[in-house]
This record gives sequence, C-alpha cells and structure tokens, in this order.
Amino acid sequence: MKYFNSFIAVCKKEWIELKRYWFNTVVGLCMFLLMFMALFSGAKSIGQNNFSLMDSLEGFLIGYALWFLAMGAFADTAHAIIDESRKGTLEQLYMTDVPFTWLLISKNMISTIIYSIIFVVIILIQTKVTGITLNLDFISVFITLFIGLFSLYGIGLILAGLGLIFKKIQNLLGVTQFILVGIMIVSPTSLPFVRLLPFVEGREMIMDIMRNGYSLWDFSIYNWLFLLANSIFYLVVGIYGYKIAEMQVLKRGMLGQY
Amino acid sequence: MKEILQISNLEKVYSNGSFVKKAVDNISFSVNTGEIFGLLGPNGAGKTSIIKCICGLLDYEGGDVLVNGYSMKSKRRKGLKYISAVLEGNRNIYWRMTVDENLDFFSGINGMSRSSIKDRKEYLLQQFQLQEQRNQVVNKLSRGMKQKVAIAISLITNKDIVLLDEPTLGLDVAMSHEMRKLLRSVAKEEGKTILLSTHDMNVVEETCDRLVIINEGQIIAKDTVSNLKTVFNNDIYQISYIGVINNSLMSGMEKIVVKLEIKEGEDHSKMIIHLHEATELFRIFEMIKEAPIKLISIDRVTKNLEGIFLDLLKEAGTHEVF
Ligand SMILES: Nc1ncnc2c1ncn2[C@@H]1O[C@H](COP(=O)(O)OP(=O)(O)O)[C@@H](O)[C@H]1O
Ligand SMILES: [Mg+2]
Repeated sequence: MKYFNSFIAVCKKEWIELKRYWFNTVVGLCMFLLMFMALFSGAKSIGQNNFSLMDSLEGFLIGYALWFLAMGAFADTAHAIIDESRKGTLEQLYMTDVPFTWLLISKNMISTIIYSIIFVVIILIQTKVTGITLNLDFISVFITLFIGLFSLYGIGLILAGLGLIFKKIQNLLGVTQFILVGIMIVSPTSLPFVRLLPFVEGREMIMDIMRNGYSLWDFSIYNWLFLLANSIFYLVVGIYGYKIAEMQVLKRGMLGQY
Repeated sequence: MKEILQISNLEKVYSNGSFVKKAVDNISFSVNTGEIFGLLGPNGAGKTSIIKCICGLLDYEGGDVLVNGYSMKSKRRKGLKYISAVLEGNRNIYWRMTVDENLDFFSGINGMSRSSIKDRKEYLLQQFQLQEQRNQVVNKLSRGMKQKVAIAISLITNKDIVLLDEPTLGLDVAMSHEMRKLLRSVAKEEGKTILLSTHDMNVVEETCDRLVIINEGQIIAKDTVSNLKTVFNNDIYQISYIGVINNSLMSGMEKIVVKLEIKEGEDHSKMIIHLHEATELFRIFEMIKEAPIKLISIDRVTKNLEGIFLDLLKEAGTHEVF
C-alpha cells in the first residue's frame, strides 16, 4: 500500500507539471516536427522515385520519432535527479519511507506512458505530412517500448550519478544525444555487436512492427528474451553505477549542494 | 524521560583529494522525547553537518547516531520512520507546485493516502495560517511563508522527531517571532521532539529547553538554557574605580576570581570580575579597602545568552564570529 500510494503521488506530480507547463511541451514538439520536415524534404528531393531510399525514409521517420522518445527517456532521469539536487528536494526524497529507487522507477514508468503518447502523436503527424503509410499497431509498439526503454533508464541513472558528483552534466548529456542518434540509425545487420547496445533490439523490433507489419507473435522467444536481457542488463548496470556514485555523494555531502 | 535521539562521539571528515576538513569532532549529546533542543554555533561550526548525519543524508566516519535506538549507519531506513527534516533555506518544497499539492505529494511519497491525511492537512493549514495560500504556487509566497510551508510539510507525516536547520534564517523580525511561537506550540501541542540549529542565540533562548554550543566542530558547552543563564549571570560584576591596582591587590584577587579583566580609562578604570559565588564579593571589598584605589560603582552584569555565547566563543579561541 505504501508503495502504491507513493506511486500515485509521483503520478500526480508528473501530471501537475505536465498540465502547468504543457505549452513548453507543445513548443518543443513543434520545433522537433519542423526539423523533421526540413530533413525529410531534403532527403526526398535527393532521391526521387528511388525505391530503396523510400524504404529507408520510412526507417528515418520511425528512427527520428524514436530518437525523441529515447532522448526524453534517459535525459529525463538524469535531469530530474540533478534538478532535484539543485532545488534541494532530492534530500527529502532520500528520507522517505519507501526507497528512493522505487520513486525513480515510478517516475520512469509514468515517463514511459507520457512519452509513448507523445511518440504516437509524432508518428501520426509524420505519416500525415509525408504520406508514408505504416503499420500503426500501437499496442505492440507500446509493449516493446515499455520493456526496451528500461535499458535507457539504466544509462540515465549512470549519467545522473555522474551528474551528482561532477555537476557539469549538461555537456555530457549533449554528447550522449549524438550517440543516441547513432543508436537509432546504425543498423545491427551491418555491425552485429551494435545489437548489444542499449535499446537497439527494441528499435529493431519496433521497426519490424511499424514497417514490416509484424505483431507481437511474429517475434521469436529469442527476440523477446534478448530484448528483456538487454533492458535488465543496462538497468542493473545503471542502478549499480548509481549506487557507487551515491556512496561518494553521501560521503561528501553533495546530495543537496550545487 | 526517554532519550529518543542519541549522538555519541560523532565524527565527520570531508575529504576530497588533498582537501581534508574535520567538520564534526567527537560530538555527543542526547535529546529527550518532547523537548526542543538547540544546536547553537557560528557559521561553519558544523551544525548542518550534524543534522545531515542524523537524518541519514551524510555518512559519518566515527561514532554513531541512534534514532529511537536504530543506528543511522546500519538501520537507516528504520531510523527514518521517526524523522522528518527541514534543511537550510526551506528547500524541501517544490516551488512550482501549490501549498496543497506539496502537502499531498510529500505525504504521498511517504506512503500515506490522501484520505488518511485529510484532517491533519486541514489542522496544519489552520495552525500555520496558510488557508488563504493553500492554492497558491509556493514560488509566489514570501520567504517567511515558504518557511512555514516547509515546516508544515515536515509535520504532515506526523513523525516523532523534527529536525530544523536554521528555521529563522532570513526571516524578518516579526516573522522570526511568529516562527518561534509556532515551534513552541508545535512541540507542546503535538508532543514533537524538535532539534533545531541556529546561530541566533535569541532563538535558542526563546524556544529551547536545552542546548549545546558548538564551535569548529566541537561542543564547548552543554546545558539547559536556564542553567547556562544562571551559571553565567550570578557572578559577574563590573567595578569602576579611580587609581592603579598594585601588585598585592592583583595577586590577592587572582586567588579568588575565576576571571579578571581590566579596562583602563582616562578618568576612571573598570574591572570585570567573574566569581564562583556572590559571597566572594565581600572578600574582594576587603582587599580593595586596603588598596590605594577609590571605588566609584559596582554593577552586577546580567547577560543574555548572546553574551554567554560570545564569551564561550572567545574562550574557544575564535576570532571571527559571524
Ligand atoms: N559538502 C562539504 N564538503 C566539504 N566541506 C564541507 C561540506 N559541507 C560543509 N563543509 C565544511 O564543514 C564545516 C562545517 O560546515 P556546516 O556543517 O555547514 O556548518 P554550519 O551549518 O554550522 O554553518 C565548514 O567549514 C564547511 O566549509
Ligand atoms: Mg548550516
């Protein structure tokens, strides 16, 4: 019950902030879509009637939307922790009856839902504008996302830990965004080890669903296990990394000091 | 009376590369259930560090903190069941949410349902006179209001011990007084144990039952507020005189007094003597009668806590107080 109540409290707070600052979200979304349109029309004019490029344009469309989602997912964790540290509320979150990690996981779950909704909006607008048709099986996409995104939360946790210690996390976040673009674009078929990177398996599966019309049952158990293993691995590494950072932070008294 | 909070031989050393700072140095004290206990000390004395060690936000290198018997080192989570805190600068609140939303959120993440805190929330809003502000975003409130909200939040979970780091810092005089009154009534009506830190002796004098005075990480005095006042007040006299104190008078007086300060002036001089007890004053009179000086006046010096505090710091060898 304790855990449920704290989960609800975190939900409500996210909702309140979303409601109060919806305008920022909308503006961000518009910018994002405008940039997409510019890039897309550029790519299209280069390769008119080129079938293989049209094929990769679909990939580009999905990859671009996923990039937005992924950026939100992992930057959110890191930003949130560092922001709370600066405001001084992180210390309070460390003093609650439920473990801090539970609050974080709650927040991640809610973020996943919010970002998934935004993802759907982006995809819908993109397909309308470009005329590209995709398999819009959002249930399958959402389930894959929900599992896959936890790998990125793991990375977010490591960044958050580093941020608490080194403070200047903004630059690091900038760099990781570009790495993320790579993850969303590089195909694992050409470089097999890429599949081991966080979220790559998830991205592949979502591509298969949206572009190739797969549904959940078309994936092998092997696919699912790999996706799950990838997420669990990075989440565990992330939590572990954060714990190491946290030990230092508690020693040096940097939890609420910026 | 139960000692709900026990701090024994606490040590905190900050180190970072070649930087090493012993911020808390062998501090021990206990706080009883239901009392208001003060940590008094100048800036940099180590008050915040002590409070953070108590609420599990800072690892300590030596000694231990027991909260209702649970060590904050090995049983942190258990200890936290009894503690809430407002750290420096009322930073435990979300400035972009309303008072109401903050209260709901903080009780929620502590595992309480909204319905279970409904009555308590109303009670606190009324007690802190925040009903009108309840739907305002905290950011828009004055400093004092924010501090009240912060303390109300620390009380919403109804834990036994409330730690307050500099609760009156940055408040104007009127607000500071209101805050002191509020703290007293909270302790009394709700039976809360309050540990507060401050560099303002008036705050301690008005609110606390007992205190420790801390300087450079060490305790330099530990007593009840009233004891500390009487001990230091009973026996300080300022004697104004004309003439020069000769050696025999000097050595005679030095045998009796605890402390002797002489301030020589143009037309007359003053000496301030600290005695073990008032009756010793008669022996001083005897000696002065024999000596070639003329008495002008004798005044008893009463000190408030502020004076005592400054004296203690002087003894401890601090030059810069604030
Ligand atoms: N996180 C920290 N890292 C290094 N030194 C610190 C840290 N926090 C406090 N100090 C130092 O420890 C001493 C005590 O600080 P503090 O506990 O904040 O005292 P107070 O609250 O009484 O002003 C000061 O000299 C301060 O500079
Ligand atoms: Mg302090």
